[in-house]
Amino acid sequence: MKKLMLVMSFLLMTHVSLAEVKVETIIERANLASFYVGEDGRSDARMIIVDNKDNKQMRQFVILRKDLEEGGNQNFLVVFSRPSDVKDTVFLVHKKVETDDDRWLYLPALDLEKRISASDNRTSFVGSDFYYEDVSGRNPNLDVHELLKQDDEYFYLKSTPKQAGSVEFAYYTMKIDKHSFLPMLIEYFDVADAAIRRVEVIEVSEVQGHPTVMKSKVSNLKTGGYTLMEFRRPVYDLGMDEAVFTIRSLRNPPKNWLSGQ
Amino acid sequence: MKSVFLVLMLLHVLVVSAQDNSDDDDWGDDDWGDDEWAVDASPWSHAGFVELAHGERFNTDALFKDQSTLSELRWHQEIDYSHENFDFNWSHDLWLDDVTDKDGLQFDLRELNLKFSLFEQTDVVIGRQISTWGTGDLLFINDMFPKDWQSFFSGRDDNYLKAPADALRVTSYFKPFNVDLVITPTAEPDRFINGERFSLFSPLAQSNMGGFEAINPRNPNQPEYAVRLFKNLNGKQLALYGYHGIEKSPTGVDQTMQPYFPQKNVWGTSYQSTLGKGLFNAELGYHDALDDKTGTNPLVANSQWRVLLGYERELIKKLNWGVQYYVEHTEHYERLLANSWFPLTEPEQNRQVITNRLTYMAKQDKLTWSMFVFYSPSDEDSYWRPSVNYRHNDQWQFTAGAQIFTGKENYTFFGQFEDSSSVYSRIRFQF
Repeated sequence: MKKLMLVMSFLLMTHVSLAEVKVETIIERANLASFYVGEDGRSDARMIIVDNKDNKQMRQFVILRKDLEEGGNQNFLVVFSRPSDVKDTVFLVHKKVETDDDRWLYLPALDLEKRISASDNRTSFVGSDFYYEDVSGRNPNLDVHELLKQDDEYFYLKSTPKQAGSVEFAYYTMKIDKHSFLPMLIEYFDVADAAIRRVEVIEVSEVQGHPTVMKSKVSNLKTGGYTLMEFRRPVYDLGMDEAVFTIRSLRNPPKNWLSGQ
Repeated sequence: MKSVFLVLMLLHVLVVSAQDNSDDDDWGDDDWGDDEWAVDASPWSHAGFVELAHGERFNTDALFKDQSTLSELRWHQEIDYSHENFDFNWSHDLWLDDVTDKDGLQFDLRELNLKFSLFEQTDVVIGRQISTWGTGDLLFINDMFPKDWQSFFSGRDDNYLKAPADALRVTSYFKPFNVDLVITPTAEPDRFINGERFSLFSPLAQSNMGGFEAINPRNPNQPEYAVRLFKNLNGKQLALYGYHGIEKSPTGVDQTMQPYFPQKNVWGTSYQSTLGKGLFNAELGYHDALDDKTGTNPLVANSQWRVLLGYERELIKKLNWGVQYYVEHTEHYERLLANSWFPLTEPEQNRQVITNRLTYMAKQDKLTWSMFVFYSPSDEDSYWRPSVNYRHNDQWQFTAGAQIFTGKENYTFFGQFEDSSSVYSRIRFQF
């Protein structure tokens, strides 16, 4: 009997520690699968922003990315083509995981290369329902993650910010695909456990062997507005030089990577 | 007749763009069809807008019969051609202007240039273009490129603050530092306040002049050379500047008593980096008055040191704040006063300006509240630029704002425009 107890407690302990390791691993792999595929990448992107009165707006851009460290700092270049008031506007971000990003905006009408101060990462990305953090990733170390359950297809996680009150939500839940490690559904809740925001993946395609989000949707459950984002012609591991992500690209964006040909 | 032609052209543009927009509306699940990408595959791209704008003084400037400061219907169009090896850029404005006495239909070619790269590390832009550098926010020390103060004061879009010039720009990117060179074969002055749209203080008359083209200077015919050496060291941005050309407004008076653009050199430097949660910038420049190096000529402004310190950050979500402190220190000030015909209306030895900018974006960035204030404790004058912009959708935008000048004296930089204070509104349809 004693022996059985011992074995059981041993099993229980291993199970617990496995789960602990596992949640870290899941988060790490989800972060890499969502934001760090390949050494670099490019994609055409388009958003349609719909408010609660069904008014529609559109944004079209090309996004280029290069990882400096896997899971660490990254560079982004976003070049807008539509609508006409943002045509040829360029946004350069040197994303830093530990400190604030360096950001630049180029406004072609004024030939203005504008250094912009780091803003709250949980504010609208170019007027859409996506936040900066949805596009470039939220630092996993900001939250405490727990594995709620799992089934054959998904891990179900709950993540709570270490600093309550630093963000507009109390916690969020994620449904992570066991094979691709892509979070297929993220829901943000307020202190009253009401869902206030939802990020969902609508379509995934295999690109150079990497499962890649091709369509996603963010819904603001408080206002009823939502944004659809679609990607087109994504390519990884192009061998982009770091020089692509310097201030030269603000005035002269790299055509070969933008066209994707 | 011309206006009929313009209206017809606008209508045509509206119809064409309306058709474009109808394509955008039905974005179904597989709307990213071949058509959309066919558009992108074309090397040609275009964009533009039609805008109706009106502005009125809220005080009366007795020098003007009509108190409107802005009254126009404007068509802006950009056409770009993108080739593997070069870009061709064209943009123009055509507008019916009801404020000045000139012919009602006005044309401004804003861009007509060819852009290409050489030897991997060099970018060249040749032709009509707009250039900008420096770290100031609506304060310029080392940026000697032409500015359009008439547009700025009348409440046109901020984009019109910058005026184009026919120039050659060569920018080379090297490991140790980058080099930016802009040569303007015939100097392009600012579109300065000349009395046509707004009155201004005339030191010679010792009063405001306006209601007609009061300043009609001798045009410059010399070239301008502007150079910038710059480097970004892990987010810390350093630059050195040099300029040889002209004073951009006709602040000088020659022997025939005609206003002209005195020659000048500018040497300067700037620094910009993050500081705490925000951005810090500092800029310094020496404006060398080549036509009055000793400071004894009362008809040409003296040399000046100009210094700027700035900081900006996000205060709370979507509320940005920027503050700047700026000084113009006039050299040989004793001599200036000793030789001046009107010492009482000369600028202060240290003209100080403090600016504050507050920008608040609401309704998912559709609504932008903005306030920019220049305040000079030394001149005891100020300039307030409140505005609100509503971006209804990708086509329609509405803007309203005011330009408010205050001043204790009528001869100070902002004080002279007190009677030019106005309110304005604009409606824009873009395509």
